[in-house]
Amino acid sequence: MSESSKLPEINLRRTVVVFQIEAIIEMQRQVDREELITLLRFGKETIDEGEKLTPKRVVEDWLIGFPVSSGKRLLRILEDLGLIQRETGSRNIELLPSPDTSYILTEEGQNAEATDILFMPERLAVAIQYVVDPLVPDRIISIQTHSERLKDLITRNDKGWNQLEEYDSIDLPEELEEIVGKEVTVYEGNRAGLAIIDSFGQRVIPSKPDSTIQLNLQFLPQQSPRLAISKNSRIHEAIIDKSLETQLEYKKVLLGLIRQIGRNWSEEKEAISVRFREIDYPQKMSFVADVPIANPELKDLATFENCILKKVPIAPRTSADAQKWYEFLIVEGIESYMTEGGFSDYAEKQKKNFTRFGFDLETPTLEEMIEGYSNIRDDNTYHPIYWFLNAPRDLSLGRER
Amino acid sequence: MALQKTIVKERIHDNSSETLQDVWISSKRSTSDFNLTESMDDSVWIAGKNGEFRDIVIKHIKESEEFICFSTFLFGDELIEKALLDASDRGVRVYMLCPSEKIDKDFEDEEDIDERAEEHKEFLDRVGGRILIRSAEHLHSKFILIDPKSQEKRVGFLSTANFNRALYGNPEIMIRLESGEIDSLFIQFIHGFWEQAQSEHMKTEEGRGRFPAVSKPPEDLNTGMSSCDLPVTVKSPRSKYENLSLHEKVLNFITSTDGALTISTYGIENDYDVTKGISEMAKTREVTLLAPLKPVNAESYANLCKAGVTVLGIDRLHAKVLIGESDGEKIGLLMTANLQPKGLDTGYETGILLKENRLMKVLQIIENWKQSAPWVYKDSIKIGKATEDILVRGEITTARGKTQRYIVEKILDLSEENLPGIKQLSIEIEPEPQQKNSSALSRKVKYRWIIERPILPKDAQRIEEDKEEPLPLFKKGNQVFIVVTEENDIPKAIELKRTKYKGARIVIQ
Repeated sequence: MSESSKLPEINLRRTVVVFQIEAIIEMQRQVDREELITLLRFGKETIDEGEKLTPKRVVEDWLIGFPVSSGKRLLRILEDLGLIQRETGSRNIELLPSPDTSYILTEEGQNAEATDILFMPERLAVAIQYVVDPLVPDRIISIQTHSERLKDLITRNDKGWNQLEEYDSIDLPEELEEIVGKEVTVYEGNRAGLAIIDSFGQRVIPSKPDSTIQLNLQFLPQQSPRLAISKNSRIHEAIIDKSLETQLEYKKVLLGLIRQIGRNWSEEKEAISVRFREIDYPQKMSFVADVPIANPELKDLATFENCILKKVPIAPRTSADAQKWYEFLIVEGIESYMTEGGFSDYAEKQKKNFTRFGFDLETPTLEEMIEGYSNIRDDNTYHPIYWFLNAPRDLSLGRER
Repeated sequence: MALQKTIVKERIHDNSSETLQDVWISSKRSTSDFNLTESMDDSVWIAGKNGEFRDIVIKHIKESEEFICFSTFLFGDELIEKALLDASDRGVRVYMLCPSEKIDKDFEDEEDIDERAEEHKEFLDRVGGRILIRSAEHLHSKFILIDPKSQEKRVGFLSTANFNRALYGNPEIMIRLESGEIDSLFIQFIHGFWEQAQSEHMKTEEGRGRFPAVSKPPEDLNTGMSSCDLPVTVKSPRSKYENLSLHEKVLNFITSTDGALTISTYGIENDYDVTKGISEMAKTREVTLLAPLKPVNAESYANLCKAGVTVLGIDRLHAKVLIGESDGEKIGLLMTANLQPKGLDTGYETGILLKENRLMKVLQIIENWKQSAPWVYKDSIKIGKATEDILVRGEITTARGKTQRYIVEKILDLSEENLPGIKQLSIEIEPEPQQKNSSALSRKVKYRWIIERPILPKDAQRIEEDKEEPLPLFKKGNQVFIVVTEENDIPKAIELKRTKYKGARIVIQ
């Protein structure tokens, strides 16, 4: 039995359907191109020193010994990636720059140089799994580069979506429109990388039926809620949308659930107020109860599967309940022989379990206990407590009668 | 004289010079000579069929108001059980110490011990929970204390008998305890209950359990054992309760008293300092041992007998008493313990020093037993010298109630059953029957056997050349037959066979 209440962990769970489409998407995908980052760094340093970043400068001070055409091509790559732009602002896309064409870093170029992260445009055939659930605002469960059907089309034709008419195409589901421009994780086998979707191209309906995932929403006292998504035995923790967090504050959720089942929560005792007659043996002994909740519901977040709030603190509702409970604990805790002094100490110890509830409890005397048990007989035999309390009194020295 | 077809032969075997070891010789008295009433007075009882001691115990149980402390090795008495259960129903707590299901036969080894143990077990099963029973194998003391904390009402009894049928027949002694003795025995009971018992019998939710182990006593319990001034045996280290050793008290009693020493016991260990002390005393004092006819004690009896102790036998004697003198006054010690390490060293036992009236009554009992003891032990005796009934070691148990008697002459007919082939013995050969154990009690044994004489086959042919021989000869195949017709012919036939016809058979026609 604990002397202070400990609020329970709340675990809500529901199963949601996973939809899947396969699509060709254009995206900015994070790539590992160290040489380009280094060239950007060289460009920034050159410009910071008041010099010009030109193809000629690149082969003189960075790519030493290479022909100037190499410098031109490298700067053109950076230009095509939008990381640098001509100082003049003009650009002839057909021609390579001249040896003296001067460049400056674009905002993306400055970001890439500062973060060492480089996004490159890419067209990918992917399978996108997504859910429609208020707990998963970004919808996406996974993006896998494994659409064999569409990959084949990309290699045959990279001139635009309209020429892929030989395949049935579907409208982009409304729920996925929101993810354009957002950062997502793209999986290629087991490798994961960040990407930003620029646009959706050809879409086809999924080749396999939809599966499901588990959403597990966990609340602990004084902690932010945690959402875990488990799929194919892998669990990853998802970020709760900030806009949801305020309404998912632990105490609000706990009280909401307890009220939902009509139980009486005492804020003062931080426990469910119960009548002694309502509770079972383990609850009486532990001062906690496992509380089942059918179809738990959180505001704006729909319902979850039936759950059990484990070890929710319980407290006597009235003084009479507390007195009965106290007497019950005294009896149940007597498992061996006790002297009169031992019984008194023991009863006081049991009383401490009720201190926090603020009731004034009366301790039965040893005589009262013995008297009570002398009348409790089963098949003419006395209850063990009868002996536990009598024997030390009878079979000890002192107290002659 | 014509020969008979059958012949009766006899041989006398004389056992007179044989020595019998380890025997009880009849004193020509019997236990029926005990001329005692069960109630010697209101403080001393002997066991008896009227159950007078039982009645007095039941009377006090019925008057009990608070609680009863009861210790026994075996229990099996319906009337006392009923009184205890009635008291329990009235709210009188009944606490009991005894062994549980496993009875150590070193304490009691009567032939009906298994039956008594079963009776005891059944009792425990019946009363567990109505009576709080704690048990351990070594709990052997026998006493009952009624309301021991009540200065006005308390009463107590110590018994050498178990509270079963021993109360009605065995030579046993029971005494009423004095007030100070009740105090001390109460402390011994407290100690036994909290410190020595190993398991407990009460009804739990699972039913009447099979003696779960006892838990430690409450820490603040005052057991007060160090203030017990009775000689008792406890399993605690000697140093803690040095003044309580029953072993030392007994040894001291034997070696430090003077005058005649009389000891009554049920069990006596041979290789034990107490027994050796008794032997030593016999060099200078008259020492009498009253003891039961227990084969297991025989080695001790033999050694004590050789040392000069008079060993008197009373069947089922179970009382444990020592009587001696100190400064010209008789003193006595009544105990629950046998003279064995299991009793005096490690058993849960009690001894009460007897004085004044109780001593006088017990002396009277012991003296009566000495005078009436039906048997005297002898470590060895020549059969020829034995003139009384005797009991031989090893036959006591089966012979109880129909003792083996010494027989002057015994006729033993030898038949095919006990000596196969005897009928076919040749005329000239006499059998040598083995002497059986049972015949060892007889001074003389006459063996008697019948021989059927061989007859000449009908188709045997006379040998013509035999005319020079003293007896007629016949032949069948290669077998030669010497034919005799009169008793006088037999020596001639034997001689003829020995000298000339070695393979021949002597037959009649």
